Amino acid sequence: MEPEKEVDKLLTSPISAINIGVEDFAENLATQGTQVIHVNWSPPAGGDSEIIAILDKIL
Amino acid sequence: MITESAMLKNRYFDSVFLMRISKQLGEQPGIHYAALVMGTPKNIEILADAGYSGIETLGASSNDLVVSIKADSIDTAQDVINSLENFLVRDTGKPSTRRVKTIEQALTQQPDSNLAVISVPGEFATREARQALKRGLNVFLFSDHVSIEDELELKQSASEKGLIVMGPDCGTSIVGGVGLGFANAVQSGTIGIIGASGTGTQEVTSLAHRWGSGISHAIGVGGRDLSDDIGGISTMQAIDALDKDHNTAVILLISKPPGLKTLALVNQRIAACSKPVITCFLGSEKGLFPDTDNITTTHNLDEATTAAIRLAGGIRVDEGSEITPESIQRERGKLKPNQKYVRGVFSGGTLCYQAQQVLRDAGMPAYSNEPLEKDKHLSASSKSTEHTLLDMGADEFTIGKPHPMVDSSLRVERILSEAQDPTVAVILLDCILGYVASNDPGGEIALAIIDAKKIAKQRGDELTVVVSICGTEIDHQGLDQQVAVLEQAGAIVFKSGFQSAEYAVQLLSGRSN
Amino acid sequence: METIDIKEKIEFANAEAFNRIVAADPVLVDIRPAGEVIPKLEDRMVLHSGPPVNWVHMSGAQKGAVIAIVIFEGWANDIASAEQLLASGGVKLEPNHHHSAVGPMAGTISKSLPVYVIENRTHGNRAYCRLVEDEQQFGNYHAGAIDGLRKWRDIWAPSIGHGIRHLNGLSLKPIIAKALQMGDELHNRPNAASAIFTGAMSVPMIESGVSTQDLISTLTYISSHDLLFLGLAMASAKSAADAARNIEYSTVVTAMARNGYEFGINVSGLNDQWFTAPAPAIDGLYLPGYDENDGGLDMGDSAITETVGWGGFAIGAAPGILSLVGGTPEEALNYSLDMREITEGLSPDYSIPALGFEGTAVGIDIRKVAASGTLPIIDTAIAHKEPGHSIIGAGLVRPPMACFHSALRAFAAKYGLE
Repeated sequence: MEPEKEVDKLLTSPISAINIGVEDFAENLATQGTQVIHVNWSPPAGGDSEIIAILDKIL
Repeated sequence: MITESAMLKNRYFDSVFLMRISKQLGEQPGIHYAALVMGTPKNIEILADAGYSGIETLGASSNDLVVSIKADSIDTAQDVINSLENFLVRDTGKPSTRRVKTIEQALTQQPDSNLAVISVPGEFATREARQALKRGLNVFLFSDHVSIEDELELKQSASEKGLIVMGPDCGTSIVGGVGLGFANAVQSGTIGIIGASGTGTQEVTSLAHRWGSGISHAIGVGGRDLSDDIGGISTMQAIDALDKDHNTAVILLISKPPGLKTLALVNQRIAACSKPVITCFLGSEKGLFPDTDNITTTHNLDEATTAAIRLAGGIRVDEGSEITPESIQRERGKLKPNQKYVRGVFSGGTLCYQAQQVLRDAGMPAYSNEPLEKDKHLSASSKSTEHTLLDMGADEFTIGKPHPMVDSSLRVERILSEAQDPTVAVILLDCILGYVASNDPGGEIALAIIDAKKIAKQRGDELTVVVSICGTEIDHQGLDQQVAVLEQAGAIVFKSGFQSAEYAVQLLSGRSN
Repeated sequence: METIDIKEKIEFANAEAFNRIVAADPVLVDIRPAGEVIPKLEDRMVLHSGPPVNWVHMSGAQKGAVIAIVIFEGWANDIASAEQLLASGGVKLEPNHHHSAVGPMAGTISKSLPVYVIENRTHGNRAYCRLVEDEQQFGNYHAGAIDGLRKWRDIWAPSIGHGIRHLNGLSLKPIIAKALQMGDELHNRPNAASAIFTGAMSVPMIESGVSTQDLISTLTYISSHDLLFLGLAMASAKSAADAARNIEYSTVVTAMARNGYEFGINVSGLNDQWFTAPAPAIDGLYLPGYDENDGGLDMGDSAITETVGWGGFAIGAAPGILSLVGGTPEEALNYSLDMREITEGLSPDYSIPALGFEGTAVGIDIRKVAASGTLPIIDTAIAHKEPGHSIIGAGLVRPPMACFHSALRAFAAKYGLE
């Protein structure tokens, strides 16, 4: 029998979520009693595409 | 202005702390300036130079706190000096909590995380999804505007790690009873859903719930997953997972028609599946996808849900909201001969798509900004023509604006502008309840419905407004309340998108003119 | 394949930079007139804080401090003639950082001003810093302010110097570590370190035969000077940061410095190039008689302390200056925790009790700064915008993101990533 995949575990164990983006989604999960942590996300490098391209190569 | 000073013997405070308190004292009404310093010779000199008179005579030493206030009146200054202790002894209030800024930090605080819910702007979504996968998290990717190349890369890398990417542009999933994104509150059951569309999933989960069945999981895969570019990577993973899942008895797959290569792959996988599979490829011609080994094909969401309930061993509960010839007859009598067209103003993309299919199958194909066939593409989304069904959640409407499921104002505007057109017979709407959606979507469009009817009435017309409501009685908006609000506004309400479109078709197609 | 390669090279280089910073063993070996110990300090030259700047662009406070130094050196007799001399280019101006030196606020160093000589016994390099006071270095060029420098030159520095040489050097690492346990963060709050230093120097000064008169004057000076140790902390930090310079591929910051006109950073893998942007204003608190309308822009080499993980990075260790950061211990600790996002690692020697004695965050990585949007936090003093004033306040400041972006662009260009 093949080992249990992460996606299979997702269906059988309680969700423990990390929310990145719209905070409503985190609040929604919290109101359903789901464990969730909200990431206070902001665009990398202030959204500067040249810097993002550099960072993608070196970070 | 007066200056009043005082000294607190043998009270040592940090100089930086005192600067802060000075600032606070200076902000009190009637106070011009306030100085709080320890009484060192140097500080006394600085204060004297700064015009705080009478300091030298206090006889302060380095261990004494000196306060000097410039104020409108002696009384004001005295009041502040008397209340000094309240400023010096600070009430810290609530402790601040640390906000995490990256997935990495979130994981250190919640190491057992198993899912990343990502809804950042599309241009940054791939980066975040990559980070999540790298750290062993499944991904629910709500963000759209992710390129097909990025989608393929993400899904391939996820699949190698045994993880799944739900999305991009994934509106809805329900995992183990938990609604992700826009989802409805539904009871648990044995129908497992794989949905390439958000509102399609919302519709079938709501129907299944109300028709007496329930959902094990609903796994969103993103609208392009079954294209040949992606090859159904997430769909195949979802089939594998639901096949193994003990709570799932049947699998329902909803998508636009797959690419031909991908269809062959999917059919092959389904043939080996231990559970019955129902497919519903919306937009396709009826009968294009025949039943095969282990596959029951269906043509619309109502049919799909009915089949799933049956194959799961259940019996569909009759809601009694079917279209009756009497109501058609009554409504038809109000329309004038020149009122010929249906105008759909949808918040749910799949509900719009399904409605287009219903109209096409009835021989009254509609234009759309998201059409079934290219030749029915509206030349400008802002201008409807003949039968037009609009997806108000499409990019051209939502860039920089909230989605119509969250805020109805764009839809309200469009409903009113459609009502101006005397050739319009039916305005066809949807109203989607559930998590994250507006708290009162029915109320928001009810006002527009009343106004639209008024506009028609002013030129002597009656306008038919048909609304399909998607939701359950356990959604926080309350299904019955939402139905009542819409009916009070004069709308004909169905709890199924298919039925509402079917109603519009029957209303218009059987007329003598 | 190539990109995997460069990531590995960067990680390796950054680990090396981090190791060199945390391994530094700063020892105070002497106090000498700068002209005797800083090799390339010329006769009519004034070193200043921050990146290079000319007389025209120099900020008011820094101009004031340079004028004071010109008078102190006797190159001019009064403020007007000093200004004239400077405007005519009669005095060379160069950054401290080009001479292994640092200076607080305006940072001015000239040949007869005694400087602390720090030897990093691990790496073998030396670093220098001038005294810290609250007048001349803030741009005050009046007689009283210059008198303070003279006392330093003629009495205090020679007396401490006698004691240091008698001791064969004083190891500063233990003092710094202890001070962090005692509520210092070593930038705005070096009080504990100053007290420990005073204790450590008293007996050696007596034993080395300093005259009673000078001894009394010097002990009075060092025992009542809370900020005394800042100069030693800065020189120690400089000796550690310089050890991490010029490591190919490293994206670790080796200096953050400001001159009241521009903020500049150096990056290990980018030689000694400056990446500058206009100096930011300080979010601060002001002494009686002053407000934000008087404040000059960010100035001083003291951010070298943050560069090695002290100052704002260790503000969670310094409850005494909570008022600078909003007032609650949580807020102060959050500043220290936030710095972990942008650094290579935690110091094994310098720890913060309130963080369970975990180390301070060390080795600012320009990649992480740009990616996270989190900028280093610096706690600093405020000078007046015009020449002629002493200290007017203290506050918090962060470097402009543009410094880090231009460094990344230069990195991409140098290492062929375009």
